[in-house]
Amino acid sequence: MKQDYFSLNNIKHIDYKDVELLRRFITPSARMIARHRTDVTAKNQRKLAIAIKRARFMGLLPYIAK
Amino acid sequence: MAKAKVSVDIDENIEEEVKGSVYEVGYIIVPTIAEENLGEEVTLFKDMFTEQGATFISDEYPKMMELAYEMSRSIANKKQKFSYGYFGWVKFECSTAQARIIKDLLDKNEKLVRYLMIKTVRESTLSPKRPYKTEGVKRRSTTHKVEETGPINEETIDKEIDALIV
Repeated sequence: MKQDYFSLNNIKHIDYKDVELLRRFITPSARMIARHRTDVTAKNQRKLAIAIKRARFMGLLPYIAK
Repeated sequence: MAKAKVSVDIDENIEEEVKGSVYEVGYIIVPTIAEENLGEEVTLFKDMFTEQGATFISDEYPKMMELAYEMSRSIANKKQKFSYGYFGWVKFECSTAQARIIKDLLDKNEKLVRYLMIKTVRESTLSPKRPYKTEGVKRRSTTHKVEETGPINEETIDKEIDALIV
C-alpha cells in the first residue's frame, strides 16, 4: 500500500530550509527522485519539487553531485 | 446578484492588501564580514525591513556555512566567487507594495551573495526533529545471490565434519 511520507508525519508545509528532510528525496547524484519511487502524493510531490529547487538556489543542496 | 458577488471579492482583496501577506527572506551574507561585525550587519539588515513598515514574525541569526556550489556575485562592478556564506532567514508581514520596495532594496544590497523572497504562512514551516520513522523513498528489493558451489564431494564433506567434531 502506498504511504505518503508527509501525510504520515503530518507535514503540511515543505520548507526549503529543511535540508535533512529534502535529502531523503534526492539521489546521491542530487537528482530528484520520481514520484513512483517516493510514493508521495502528486500535490506533495509538487511542493517537494519547489522546496528542492529553492534549496538548490540558496546553495543548501547541490544541483549535481559527483 | 453577480454585481454583489464582485463587490464582495473586491472587498476581500482590499482587506488582504491592508492586512498584508506573510513573507520570508532567506539570505546569504558575504563571508568577508568578520564574525564580530556580523551582529551589526544583521541589525542594519533588519532595520531595512522595519523602516518599510514590516512587522517581524520570526527569524534565525545567520550562521556560517559551506555552500553546495560556488556562487558568483558582482560587487562594485567586480565579479567575486563565494564558497562560504552566513545563511539566515527572516519572516515578516507587510503589504505587497512594501514587499516590492523591500525586494528592490535587497537587489541593491551588496552585502548579500544571494537572497530568496517567498510568500509563506505565519506558523513555523520547519518540521520538528523526529526520530527516523520511515524512509522517504522505498528501496528496490535486492535479490540475495545464492553462492554457487561446485559439485559436492562426499570425501570433502566427511573431512569437514571430522574437523568440526575435533
